[in-house]
Amino acid sequence: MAFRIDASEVIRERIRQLQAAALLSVQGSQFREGLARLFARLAGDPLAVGEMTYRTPMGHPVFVAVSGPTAINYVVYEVEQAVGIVKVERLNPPNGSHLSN
Amino acid sequence: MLQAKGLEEIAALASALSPEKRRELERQLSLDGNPRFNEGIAVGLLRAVEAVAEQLPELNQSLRELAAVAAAYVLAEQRAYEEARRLTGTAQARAEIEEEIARLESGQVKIYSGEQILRELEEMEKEFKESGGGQTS
Repeated sequence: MAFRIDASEVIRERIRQLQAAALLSVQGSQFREGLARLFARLAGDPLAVGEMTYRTPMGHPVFVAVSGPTAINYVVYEVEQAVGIVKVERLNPPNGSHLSN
Repeated sequence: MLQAKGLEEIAALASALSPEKRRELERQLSLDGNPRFNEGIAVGLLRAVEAVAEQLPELNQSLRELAAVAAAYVLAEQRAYEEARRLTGTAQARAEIEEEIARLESGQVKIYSGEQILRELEEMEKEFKESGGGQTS
């Protein structure tokens, strides 16, 4: 069963801002493509994607994951089979440019 | 440290390969796991190169190319994660993350699906391209 991916209005707006900035930069569509790759992998097995950074007081793991120029933090709710996107950043081109998978 | 040095040395060979060749080898390697998994692949290939260098020289060139691409990918990935941790590991970033978790768990805010967000980004991109943005001369 696939994990559901959720985000609040705050994160949605942040993603839209980062996408607009990426489109105006040399990164072009790489930000969206990185996010799409991350979402596809999170839907399959979010515990196997990035690096765990800490657990919330309720025991839910929080991860950081990168694909291309896109970096996200997400929290995993295993029982609910859901992932919450809690932070999104756009990395500088030199660091993300080789990561196409 | 020795391992990192070995990866850096063999990664340098990847720059001699064409971008198409690198992408093809990256696809073969399926480097889509987490950073630790990818590093395991790169280190395993590095050890394989060392092991066959003398015994099977005819296999060594292909193996060296695979190892070079894996090492270059892993080193770039490590730099990317370093930057991501720098951006998201501050006290302020942690507070933002906590705030976002509380918001999601409150059940009081509108939730957007990943699918919906990606659709919106595709629409943004389409509009941007139709308006003449992103054209290179």
